[in-house]
Order: sequence, then structure tokens, then C-alpha cells
Amino acid sequence: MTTVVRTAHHPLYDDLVAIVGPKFVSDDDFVRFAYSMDPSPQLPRVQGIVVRPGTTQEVSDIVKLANYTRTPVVPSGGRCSLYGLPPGLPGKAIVVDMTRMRRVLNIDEENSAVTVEAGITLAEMATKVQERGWDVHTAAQPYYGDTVGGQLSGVMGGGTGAELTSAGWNTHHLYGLKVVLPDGTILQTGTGPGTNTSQRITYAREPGSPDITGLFIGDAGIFGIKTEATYRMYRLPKIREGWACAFDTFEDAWRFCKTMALIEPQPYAMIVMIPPTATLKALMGLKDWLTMCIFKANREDEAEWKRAVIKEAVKDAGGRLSDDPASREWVDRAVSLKAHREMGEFASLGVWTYLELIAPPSEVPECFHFVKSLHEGTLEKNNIPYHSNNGIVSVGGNQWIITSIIFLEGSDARAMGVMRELWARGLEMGTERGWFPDAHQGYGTIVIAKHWSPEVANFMRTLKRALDPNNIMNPGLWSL
Amino acid sequence: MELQKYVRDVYSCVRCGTCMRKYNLEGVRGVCPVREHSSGFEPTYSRGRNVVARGILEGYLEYTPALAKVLYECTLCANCRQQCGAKDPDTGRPRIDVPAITKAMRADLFAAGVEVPEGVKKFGENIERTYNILGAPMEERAGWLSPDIEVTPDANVVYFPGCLTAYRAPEVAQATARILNKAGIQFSILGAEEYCCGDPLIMTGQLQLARGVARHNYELLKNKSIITTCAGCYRTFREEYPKLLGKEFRLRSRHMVGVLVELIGAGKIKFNGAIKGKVTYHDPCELGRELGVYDQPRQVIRSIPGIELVEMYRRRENAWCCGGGGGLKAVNPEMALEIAQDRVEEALATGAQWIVSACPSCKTNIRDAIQATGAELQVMDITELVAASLV
Repeated sequence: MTTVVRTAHHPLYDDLVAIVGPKFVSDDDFVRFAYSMDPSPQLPRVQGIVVRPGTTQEVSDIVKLANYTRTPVVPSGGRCSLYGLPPGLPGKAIVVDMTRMRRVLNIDEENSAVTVEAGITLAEMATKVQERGWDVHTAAQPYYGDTVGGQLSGVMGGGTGAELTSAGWNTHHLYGLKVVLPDGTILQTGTGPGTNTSQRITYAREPGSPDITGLFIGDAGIFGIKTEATYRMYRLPKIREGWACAFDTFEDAWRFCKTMALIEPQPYAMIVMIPPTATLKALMGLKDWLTMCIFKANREDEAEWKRAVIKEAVKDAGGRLSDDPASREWVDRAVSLKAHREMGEFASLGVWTYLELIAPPSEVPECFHFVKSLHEGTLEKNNIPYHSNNGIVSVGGNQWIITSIIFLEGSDARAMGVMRELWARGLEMGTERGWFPDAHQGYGTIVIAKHWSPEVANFMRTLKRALDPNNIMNPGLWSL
Repeated sequence: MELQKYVRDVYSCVRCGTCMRKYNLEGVRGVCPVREHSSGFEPTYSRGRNVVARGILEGYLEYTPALAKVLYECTLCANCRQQCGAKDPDTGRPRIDVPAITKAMRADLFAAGVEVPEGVKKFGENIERTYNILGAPMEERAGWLSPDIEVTPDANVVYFPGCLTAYRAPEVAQATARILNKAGIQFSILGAEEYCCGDPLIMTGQLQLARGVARHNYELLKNKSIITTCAGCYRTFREEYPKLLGKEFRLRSRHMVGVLVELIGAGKIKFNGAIKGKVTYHDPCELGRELGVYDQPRQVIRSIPGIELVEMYRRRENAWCCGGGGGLKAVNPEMALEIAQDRVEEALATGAQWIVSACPSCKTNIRDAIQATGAELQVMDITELVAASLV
């Protein structure tokens, strides 16, 4: 077995200590190893040294040093990526752990904006603004782990919150960023002092330039390290309510979801559909094809209208409102966000692999059956006991995320090898069929890049070379 | 390898990061006191420790003195296990027992002969020499006995104060003895024959030595009914002796808070209302999260006339550690003190005049933090509060 033991310090150890102080630099074997895994089944990737900067200036100084010495940089946020860590350069690269930078810098209630450091988790940001009666769109799951920088970089559209059907991708609620570019330059995007130096407040995205902010959304961290972000805040609604709707078949449940997604004005905040897997039956007592509609309202008559719309759509699709205790609890947990916060039940099921693909409404049934049969078929063929959980959820009403999570008991090496292969195969086969993994992370980016047109690939290479001529910022991602 | 016993736990961690920081609508709080007061690198808290454990199990990593230092910087407070929430679907028990994983790695460190921090070695050396963690003279173990306390040498009930109470918090032992005297419960003590219960040795991975003291205590106590005021001794008698020596080596032991509830309920002790004011209760990790004793101490405090119980934000299952557990105080006393200062600040925010606990380790560490900060707060053990209020 290969060990990761090193006998001498990393060549940049002293220089990094000079930037952030000795407390926040480590090239100890066990520290580097602890940064070598994400929740995916990917094998460990042990980089050269880990540093925890405390300010944007420190990040800039680290990047300048990396550039000068041609040392790859791997930014690290909440470490919740599901598609594998960046290749970096094992044994050499600098892991920049951003989680020390987690301050709320400004809550601007008059302009409905909150500015935070990018190492804060979205849940912590949400909690801080909720204390003042405001809300932000946060991470759906893992609720407590995802950082602002990690979500914006590593997930398509900057990720989604719990109200993703009406709110869409989090990028729609982002006003601007502070980014350390690969040459160490500190860039402010949005309406703030970046694009109009006379304006001190970041309150909108596009004015004054093309959407520069957008370049950094879902970039997997190859164009720079995000150190600050400004989000739009919303007032907390007075009513947040959910309904479980039960159907006998996938087709009926899907017809209901499609119908709901087309209704304007939207009577929902979130629509999600789950099948009655053996795991959910055992764990939560859920037995039907279920959909959940969550809505928000500020007045009772507004809520009543939304309830009526949901009831009618359920009836038209041949379903029924479900009031059995298990589905009621499922909905209550989602409404109170407890389902997003408390992952205990699912974490209890052991090692997992996760495949999430984005598909248009016309291809949702095909994508759903493909993912489910690939996962379950492969594990059954290999006689590997597993638990599974699937879901279909709408983002913005016009895109659908199809999810399959497989849980595996114990540490059986053969089963984990099959899981690893299955995870990679699911990504590759799904992308071949035209669907996208929503996570722009590690191996996921490499799979997606295989399907880029020559023009897109060339455009991306041009951008990368212009911004990062020494290719130090997350090299290898998107095969760049 | 001890760690092999926890393979299922290690591989159950999906690395979601819930053990990093967790929140609810009442505010934002960290989960791991050590992560909050250290460099914060991944191995300083649960998720990273599990990855390191996996690295050891899979042969990527070896135990080193640097790793030992980090593994000993843990209070074993189990807040990570609590906040993780992963449970075994069949038994309902925690699925990822990080304190147990950490203790197993510490035991493996010892077995591998890796250099461990000086404070840890000192525990073992002291206990080998004097049978108490402080290295204090054995003959002074019963030094807390004052002339007014009546001990009945052959009594079936044995009061077991433990090392810290006997030598560092004798006032707790005295208060306990006076309550027992008042209630008419005859008790004996082991005096110089009382050895450390073994908890500090088990926590720091010194299992061979722990077995020795456990066997000694077991032989003296096996036919007795034990009362202790130490959360650590209590948990060790109940949980650790059967693991260490075998299932049949379970001692009949009770923590004093349970005894107090009974005495109050039976009307065997009554209060004079001499002390008036606000009290907040600090849940010791070994009594609370480890054994689920939350209601009894609160019941005792509420039954004292003139005392108002005010709760801290982090309480019961979510209580913040005092910083004194897991051997941290011996390895990194500065960090232990900083963590205790968090607790002092939280207690002050309640408006309480007293912070009360049921563990001598919590009491001494919180006392140190109060002294260091000059906070206008007093710390006392629950037995002292009761004894001071007795008719």
C-alpha cells in the first residue's frame, strides 16, 4: 500500500507561513490526506500543502506566489462536492481552504443585499439574515456544509436552494463577486466599485458591463478564487406550507408535476417527486408515488388560492392529496427545512454515490428510468446489497433534476470498486445522452468537456489562457 | 488494532460537513470546540478525523507524533456525534461514534509506541506511581474528610469521589458526605485504597494500565453499592468496565444527582431557602450526551426554594463542552481554558449568579476560566448547592 509520508517540508512552506502565519499552514501527511476526499467514491488525491487564508489580500498573495513558482492551486470550500476533487498536482499543489473566511461583511436592509466572505456556508449566511427577518436562497443539501464559494463555483448556476422551482438557480439572486484572478488581481464584479468606481454599493448584476459575474458561476474555480459575494435578500414570508400528493404510477405523478410547472403565476416554491423505493418505505413509511408542493404566501386568501390550484391539478392528474402520517411528516420536515438540515437518516445508510442529471421536461421520464435502472441493475447484477433514493425536482419550472443516490453498507472493497465504476459510468452515459451533471466538479467537468463542441472547447481554452497563462488555477478541470 | 472495531463507523461518514458548523433559528454555533479554537484544519474535527482514520485503515497513513498531538486535542465531548444525527437503523444508536474512533486511535498510538504528548504520559506515570492522575500522595486521598463527617467503615454503600474531587475539589466530597449524613444514609469510603477509576487512561488510550486499576477497584467494589459525584467515574463504572474487563464486570453505581432526586422525593432532605438567586446548569458531557442524564439535575435545582433555574442557549444534548474533557487540559491547557471561557460567557448571558454542574472536571475548568476572565460568576457542584440549602 502506498503511503503519503513526506520527510521534508513543501518547498513553499516558509513562503506560505510568511503570508498567513504558521498556525494556518500545514504539510503534515495526515492534514493533506484529510483534504484528499469529498463525499464521492473517488480515490484519494493528496496534494502538497494546505493553507487557510483569512483575507482576500492573503488569497491574492498566495496566488501570486503560486504563479511565480508555477505551483497549481486547488481552492477548497465546504468540501461537499459529489463528483470528485480536482486533479491538482498530487504532492505539489497548494490547497487553499477558504473556510476561515466566513464573516458577514454587510447586511444592507435598505438595498436588500448581504455581502459575505466566500468561505461562509450558505446556511450560516441564511441564519444571520433570518435573525433580522430576511432570507436568502441557500444550499438545499448538505445544508450545513456548502460554502458560498463552493456552490457558486462547483454547481451549475451557482446551485439551488430549497425553493428552487420558483427561485431557480442561485445565480439569479447574486449581485456580484470579489474574485482573486489567477495572476493575483482582485476583481470586484457587479454594480459596486468594480464596474463603476463611483458606486459603493453592489445592488445589481449586469449594469456597466457584460455579465462578468456570470463568467465565474459554475466555472469549477478555474478562473479565480471567489473571496466575497453579494446576494439579494428577501423578506421571510408569513405562510410556508406544503402538500403531499399521492399517485399510483410514475406517469400520473409526472403529469401532475409537468402541469404544475407550467402554471403562471406560480403557485409553488418547490415541486419534488419521489418514487416508493424500498428504502423510503422502510425508513419513512412512504408507499406511493409522491409529489410535494411547497408554497409561500403573505395572506390567507393568497394561500387559499394556491391550495385550490394544487388540489385541482392533483385531481386532474388522477391523484389525491395524501394525509397519511408518513407523507405528512415528509412534507412537514421539508416545510420546516428540517429535511435539509438533518441528514442523519440518510447518512445512517452508509457510503453513498450520487448521480444528478439535468434534463428538459420532454426527456425526464427517459432520464429517470435510465438512471434508476443503471444504478439498481448494476448493483443487483453484482449481488451488492444497497439502499436507494431517487427524486425529480424542478428548477425554475423549465428544467428538471433527476437524482439517484445509492447507499452502501460497510467497507467492502469489491462493492466500493463497483460503486466507483458505476458512478463514473452513470456520468459518462448520461452526458452521452445529452443530459448534464449539475455539479461542475472534478471528474464531472472532465466528462462534460468531452462533449463540448470544438468551438466551445476552443473558446474555453482561449479564456483560460488569457486569464491563467501558467495554468495554475485548478489545472485539469474541464480538461484544460 | 483497536480502530478495526470501528470500521463500520468510519465508513458510514459521508463527509457532509454537518459536524463543521450547525445552526438553528436561534443562532449560529460551531459544533466542535476544538475546531473553533484551533487552526481549524480538517483533522481538528470529526469529518477530517474520519478521513484520517480511513487513511490509517487503508494503509495510506501511519501514526506519527504530529498526528498524535492532533488526536489528543479532542475533548471527546461527543457533540459531533450528537449533531451528526446518523443512527443505526436497527438499534437507534449513533452510527458514527467519533469519540470511540478517537479513543481507538489513541490506543493504537500507544500500542505502536508512538511518542505521545507529555501531559498524556504524565497521566499514566502518575497513576502507576500513586494511583491518581495528579501524582498526589495516596495517603492524602481521604484528606477531604472533616471532623463533622460520619463514615461507617462496613457500610454497603461506598462513596467514590474520584481523583479530581478528592484532591482538587474536596468541597464537593464534603458536601456529598454531609448530605448523605443528613439523609441517614450510611456510607464507607475506600480512602487510600481507592484507585483512579481508569477513565483518563481509557480516554488517552492507555488500556493496559486502565485494566489494572479497573480490576483493583472492581475487586473492592463488586459487592457494594457505589455513589459517585464524578460524571467520568460514573460513566466508566457503567460503560467502560464491561468493555475493558468483560460483560460481567459491571458495578452497581449511581451518580449523586440520582440519589438527590430520590432523597428529595422521599422527603429525606429539606431546604431552608438560604440561597436565593439565578442558577444555570452546565451539562457534563459524560453525564449528558453519554448517559442521557439531563432531567435529574434540573429537577434537583428546581426543587430548591429561592433558586431560579435559567438555561443557557446550548444545553442538554446540545451543551457546549467545558473544555476539560478527553485529556485536553493536560495536552493543551490554553485551549481548554478558551473553551471554558465560551461557557462562562454563555452563563453570564443568562444573568445567572451561579453556574452549577455535576462533574469535578467541569467545575475545576470553569473555575479556572472564571478566574482568568474575572467574570462575576461563581461555579459550584450541584451537591454544594444542595448542601448549602439544607435545613
